[in-house]
Amino acid sequence: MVSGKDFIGKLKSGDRGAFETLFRGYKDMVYTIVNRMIYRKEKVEDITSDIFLKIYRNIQGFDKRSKLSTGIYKIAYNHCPDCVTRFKKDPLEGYEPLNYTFNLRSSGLNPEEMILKGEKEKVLYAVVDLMPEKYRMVINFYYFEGISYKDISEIIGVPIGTVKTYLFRAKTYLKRKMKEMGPL
Amino acid sequence: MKGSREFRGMIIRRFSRDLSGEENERLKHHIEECESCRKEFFTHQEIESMLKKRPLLEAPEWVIEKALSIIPEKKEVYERFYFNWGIALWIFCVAVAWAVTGVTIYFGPGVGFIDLLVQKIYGMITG
Repeated sequence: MVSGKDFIGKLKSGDRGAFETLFRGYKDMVYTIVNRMIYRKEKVEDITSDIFLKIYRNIQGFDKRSKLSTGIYKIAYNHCPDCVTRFKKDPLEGYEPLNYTFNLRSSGLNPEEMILKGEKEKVLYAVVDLMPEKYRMVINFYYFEGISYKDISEIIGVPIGTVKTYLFRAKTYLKRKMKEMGPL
Repeated sequence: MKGSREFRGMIIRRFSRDLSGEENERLKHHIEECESCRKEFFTHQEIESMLKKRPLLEAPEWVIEKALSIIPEKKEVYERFYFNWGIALWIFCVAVAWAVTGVTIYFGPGVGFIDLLVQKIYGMITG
């Protein structure tokens, strides 16, 4: 993975090749974060591209002592709420996970059949995507490359204790929802 | 079982790597004895493993190409002047050394150098 003081130095000097390496290294991660954060899925690609431009424009502000990945996720996280606010007229319009959950419920399959069809994971991911933003993002970041509490707290701008509380509540919520929906 | 509520909280914290060694041991002993907590433990373990293997989505190539298109091949380098106290002190010391050397050469070495210097300056002032 792209990292290190020398690499950040190259980025700061405007080395285009270094930016290309960085963008290729984080392309799918940033895209996934955005996809799990915003409602309008058709905007995901444009927003991901905007985030990379923002990284380029803000590279001078990166601290060589901090993790590059944390800085990138922080930019992505802070960029997305703007998008949500901008598109928030009808947050559930075009919200795929909700439709997907509905389809599962109305598919006529009983829980056992869903398990047999390997749908359990999909139900879980749909439940995660339906969670309130703060819980959803803590869960996503925590299981996303195993980002530490400290880094999550830096990315979303809350104390470490709050991150732990969100994670605890999110897991409790997930277990309850999964039991209610049947797969567990 | 008595105290199960406490242990259910510990199960969640255990999967968040937030339990002390002692708490871990207590939980281990408890789930060996308590069937409902054992079931709860395996439920969380299952959720945990599913969350861990959630796949990344693959971004289309144009996403980065669009961002790269605005980055110039060779970025213009703007040299900035940063005031540096170390360099300033070094320049000052060199200047003083040159001044002392110049004055010494002008007036010549020997006794009364300072007196001559003072007289010269006094003469310049008073005309």
